Amino acid sequence: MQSINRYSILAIIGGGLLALMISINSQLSLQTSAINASWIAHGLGSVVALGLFHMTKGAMNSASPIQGRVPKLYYLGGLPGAFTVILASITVNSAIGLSGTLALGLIGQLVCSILCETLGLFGLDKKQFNVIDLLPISFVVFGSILLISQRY
Amino acid sequence: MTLYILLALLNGFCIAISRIWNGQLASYYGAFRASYVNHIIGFLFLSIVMLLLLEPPQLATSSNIFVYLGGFIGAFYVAINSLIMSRLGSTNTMILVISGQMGFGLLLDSSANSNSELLLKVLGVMSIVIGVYLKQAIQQKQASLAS
Repeated sequence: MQSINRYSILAIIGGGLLALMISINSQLSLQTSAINASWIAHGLGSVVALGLFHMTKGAMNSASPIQGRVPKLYYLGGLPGAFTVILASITVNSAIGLSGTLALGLIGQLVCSILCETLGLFGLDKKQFNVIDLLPISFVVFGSILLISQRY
Repeated sequence: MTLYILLALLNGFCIAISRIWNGQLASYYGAFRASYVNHIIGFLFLSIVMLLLLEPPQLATSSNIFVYLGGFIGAFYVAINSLIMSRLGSTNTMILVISGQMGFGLLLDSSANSNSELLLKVLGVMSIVIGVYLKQAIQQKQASLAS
């Protein structure tokens, strides 16, 4: 039980770090530009990610990843990733702010993942759309409206 | 305002697509190698865009090195995520991460002038966390029905 609590706290801290990351990147964009901030973040992130990859190389061998040819499209996650920093830099520094950016981003993620699952895109298991899928989104939409409305 | 709302929604689409593609790559290569590929592809793509736009690379104008922390956090998050994911499972991970994200985001963003305003903001975050919980709960239910 104690270990579960420790990891739960780590998960909450991880989420907090993500919010901090978006906030920092948008501050950087104010001093440079949105594209430039995304470029710096990805450049520094590449160096750190390469280091982490080499450090974990030995430990990762025990896991058995899927063998075979990787569809080329899956290499390109960095493209929408690049836009993520650019778009967040624009919206965090606008009227909707950080909480609005996070909340609306969640709605976008939920809608997009339902869309991809319903259509069975990108190797995801195809799932039939169910009206009950709209229930979670309505809670997120309601919460987002509360957050954004309080900025005025 | 409407434009910014649309851009923020579009951002969510970008996050989801990036996460799905990267998740698929990680199932072949593991989380850390996939994260490296993800960052370097983004970096190369942005380098090309900046060349085409004739935008010279700039560093931050302030001497505060704190503003460079974003890239580090993004890469380290992969390590944190794969650690907690293996211990807590994806459902708990997503709910706790989003709770932390919204809660801390609210804190960073806070300009609450009154208690009622703060209350409404906290209610907003709670509603979002409940929504994410329901999403995960429904997904689990459907998965157990299907199997």
